[in-house]
Amino acid sequence: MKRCRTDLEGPPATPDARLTGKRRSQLVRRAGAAIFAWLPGSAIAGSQSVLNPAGPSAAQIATIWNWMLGTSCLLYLLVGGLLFAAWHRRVPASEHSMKRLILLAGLLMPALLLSALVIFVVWRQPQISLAEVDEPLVIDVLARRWTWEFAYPSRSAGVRRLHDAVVLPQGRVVEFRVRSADVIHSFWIPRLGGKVDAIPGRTNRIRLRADAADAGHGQCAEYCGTGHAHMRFAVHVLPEARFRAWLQQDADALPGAP
Amino acid sequence: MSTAPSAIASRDLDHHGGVAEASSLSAAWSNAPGWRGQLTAVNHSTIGLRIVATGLGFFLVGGALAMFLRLQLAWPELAVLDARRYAQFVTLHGTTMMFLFAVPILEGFAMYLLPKMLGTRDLPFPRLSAFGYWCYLFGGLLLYSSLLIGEVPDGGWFMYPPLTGIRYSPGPATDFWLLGVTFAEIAAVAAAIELITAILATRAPGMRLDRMPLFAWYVLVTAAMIVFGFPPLILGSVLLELERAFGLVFFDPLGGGNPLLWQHLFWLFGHPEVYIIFLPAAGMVSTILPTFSDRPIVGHAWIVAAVLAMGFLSFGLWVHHMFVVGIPLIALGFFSAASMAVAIPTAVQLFAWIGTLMAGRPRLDVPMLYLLGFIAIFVIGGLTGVMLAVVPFNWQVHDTHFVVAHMHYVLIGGMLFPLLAACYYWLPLVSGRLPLYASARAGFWLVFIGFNGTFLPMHATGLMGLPRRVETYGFDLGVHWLNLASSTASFVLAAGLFTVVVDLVFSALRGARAPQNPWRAGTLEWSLPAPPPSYTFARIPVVASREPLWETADLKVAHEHALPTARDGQREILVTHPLSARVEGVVRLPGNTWLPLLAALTLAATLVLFLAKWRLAATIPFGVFLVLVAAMVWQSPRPTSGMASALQRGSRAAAPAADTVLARWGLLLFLCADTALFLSLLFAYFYLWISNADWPARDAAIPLAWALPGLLIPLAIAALALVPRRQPMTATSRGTAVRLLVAPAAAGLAMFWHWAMAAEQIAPLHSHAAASVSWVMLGFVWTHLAVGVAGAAFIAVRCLRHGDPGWIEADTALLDRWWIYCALLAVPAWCIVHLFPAAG
Repeated sequence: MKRCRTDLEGPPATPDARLTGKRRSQLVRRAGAAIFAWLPGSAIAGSQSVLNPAGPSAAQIATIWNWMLGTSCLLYLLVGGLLFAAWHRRVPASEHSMKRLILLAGLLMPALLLSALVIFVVWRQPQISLAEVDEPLVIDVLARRWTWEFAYPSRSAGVRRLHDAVVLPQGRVVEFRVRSADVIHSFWIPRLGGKVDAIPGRTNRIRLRADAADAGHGQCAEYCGTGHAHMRFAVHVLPEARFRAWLQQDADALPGAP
Repeated sequence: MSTAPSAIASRDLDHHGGVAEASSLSAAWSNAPGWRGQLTAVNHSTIGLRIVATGLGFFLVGGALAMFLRLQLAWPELAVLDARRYAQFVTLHGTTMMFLFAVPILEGFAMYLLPKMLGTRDLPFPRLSAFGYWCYLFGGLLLYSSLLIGEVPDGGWFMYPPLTGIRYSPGPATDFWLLGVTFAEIAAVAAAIELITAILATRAPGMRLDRMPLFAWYVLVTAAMIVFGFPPLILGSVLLELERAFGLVFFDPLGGGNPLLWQHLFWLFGHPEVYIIFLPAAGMVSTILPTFSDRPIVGHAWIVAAVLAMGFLSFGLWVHHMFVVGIPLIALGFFSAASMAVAIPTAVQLFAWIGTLMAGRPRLDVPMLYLLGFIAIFVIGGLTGVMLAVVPFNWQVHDTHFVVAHMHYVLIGGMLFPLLAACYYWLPLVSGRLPLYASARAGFWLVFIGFNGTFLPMHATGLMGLPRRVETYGFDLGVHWLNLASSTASFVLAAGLFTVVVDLVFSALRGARAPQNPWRAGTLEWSLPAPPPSYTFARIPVVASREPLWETADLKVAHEHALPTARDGQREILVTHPLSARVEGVVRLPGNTWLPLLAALTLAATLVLFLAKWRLAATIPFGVFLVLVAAMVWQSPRPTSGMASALQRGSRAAAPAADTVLARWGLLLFLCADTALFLSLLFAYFYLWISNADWPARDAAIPLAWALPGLLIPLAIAALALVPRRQPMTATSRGTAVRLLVAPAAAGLAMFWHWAMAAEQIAPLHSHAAASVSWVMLGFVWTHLAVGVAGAAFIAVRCLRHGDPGWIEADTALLDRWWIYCALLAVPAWCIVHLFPAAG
């Protein structure tokens, strides 16, 4: 374990010709660790980045990811350290102690860690599902090869429909009622939260809230034919007052459009 | 403990056992000479190696497809493949790797190795092995022949309807997939039945269950999972094909169907599938790793328990592929917890392997290098697997490149690396030569670095919002540099795999001569000369420990059961008790024959004609196929009349003859797979009913009493079969006459009655999902009754030709079991048609 650590921090004090293979494998491992470490910091940009949350659901999920990533790295180091030890100890370990290793590291450790994970996720779940919010704004989503139609049934003067773009009120929970007119699609705005499938013959619901003024793009996430890759939609977030004004205006225009 | 055998038993035996004995064995067991021998071979070594070679061929083709995918994704807006071609290549790549590479090649390894590890001469159903191989090959060729006519399946490897329904995929492309894959799956199930029988009934004398090599445990659990896990997909494929070809309704919501039914059936198969691929590979790890640690595995019992636990748990996880289809959160919680729980038996195995290394003196030979690569990669795949089991996280990354990355870490890390380790490990046994070290190591590092360079960035691109199965993406995602890196590394990976394949071929042809048992392994296969002779062991060994080659310098042989010569020039193996491996008898196996190839060819012709929409003409080769199957049964070696002689000795608890033991295992396992098929059909019925608020109510057109004979007749036949036999069966005895005349006639009557009553009770076939699924259920029961009638006719003909009591005993015993099973099917089917709300 100890040698493994120093090795990761810098080159070993004495060059050892026999270890080239292992040093190479450590180089690879180090590069892997670097990519993993770089991920949370740098992937924040991007119009569909899960790690660039613009609302509470996505933010909670990003937090869960960060915890899981950190724990996983530690577990990976543990396995690496044990393997390193297996090659470098002079006296083989006793069978008895190794059976204890199976019991502790193979059975008890995962059981404890998984329980902790479940508790953590259940604790965060209400902020992800947003199920307790009364009277969210309802938007009907109809997926059709290869376009998205958004309808606002709450408008007083007729339903407003938008294609391949959706306008959301900032800071207010929206319930999307997702249907499909043909094959299975999947409705996903990564910067706001998880996805839900659009399945012919049923209506699925998902609640999201946009807190930031920019929520990036949405995209179909279930393969639906040759237009699948281009089945995207823009997400516009307006402050509540501007959103209300936009919803009541006459033309089916996007905000900011002439 | 680690004393390598100084004298190698079978070689010695060849010396003082006599050349004459060996040549008599060789004459009985060898393939016919020349190309004809390749077509008629049934020997497990030939078939096993052939499956491995074919699997590697499909692997290279599937890999080449992936290179096109990576080229297309290297930068936004490229035009290497258009959207349609990209979808076709994605579908073919996934399908090939899952169905034509991973599962068959592992079964091929198991078929080649198990008889040698278990100390027997061949697999119990050699013609089934050969038939399975041809089905696999023709299924794969059928799938790829879609490229020739330009109608390539493009619905993704899990083929979700309605996209794959007739409305959105009108051409024959989807039919190619459904028929080709189902054809290959039949081969997988056949191999699984054979492997289970081999493991349970043909181990060397003394190889009690607790002395059985771990690889056999892994294969046993895997094969059982295939037997129960493949039927849901076979049923799904049959239903989708019925919907596409004949307009029945199962998945179309307009006719009362439900597209989610396909997803349930597919993942009921699809999740166990992941473990079906991982477990045999893990079995290779548990076999190879102790050898290079110079000690037995630590925690043998822990591992067996973990493997069994994985087998059971894997059937409770399928919904974690469906977390975003709108299932209530509380149900998702259950499947999430079960998915996480499977991490525990995985961790138990991981730490047993690490513990074995720590408690031993590990050596870094080429196979061990691949095992370290396996651990380094698979642990990452396992950790991301736990992450994916977390419901909200899954909602985000489901169907993104994060899943693509996870899946490849699990499958390449968990299956390909152990497989390559196994290729190098058993190379000296298969070819008698050692690997060429420098190129083997260079190949390893190219594969390892190329793999991580290709798939590690995909975790990031997935998190940055790149969905899977898109042929292009925008710059605004910010994933272009990562994709370029990934595509570049994929060429390193390809170069590495090419190096490995070339290295393996060169080593097999030009490597240094390997000494006997070069790795100092403990399992029985290493006592054989390399390459092993067609009959494997010159004398059947007796086993007294888990690592027989480590415990004793000399392999003992079973004196009275060593089978040193081939009596009557026939192939013979021992049948032993499933637990104690006590010898129960000697069985004769069939030799080389054309029938498996011809049967598979006629089946392939049936499917091709069906694809060409000449459906009536397709019945002709199918009829020929049935005749060929009957011919195969007809040609089976004659059983020794065990029960008849036991009855004549006055013993009521008659010990069945050894060869009927094998036949009964085969039938039992087939019925297990068949039951899984039927249960999937019941599941389909109840799922469609429960998920549909407008399920039509039953139309009580006729009183229930009228329908009762449909239920009572099958039960009566079963009761007849259950009556204990007081006298040995002969061609003229009353028991025989009742079985061969009365029972089939009654079965025919039952079928007619079912049909007549059902026509009153059920709406027409195409009207609604309720009617479609009810009719399919009745058709399922009728098929079984018809098989019973055909079986009775077959036995009757054999009685007339030669009234051998041994045959009549064995045949009618199997037929009795068949009728009982038919009655068990008829009860739920009858209840569904006549009691539950069917179509109105």
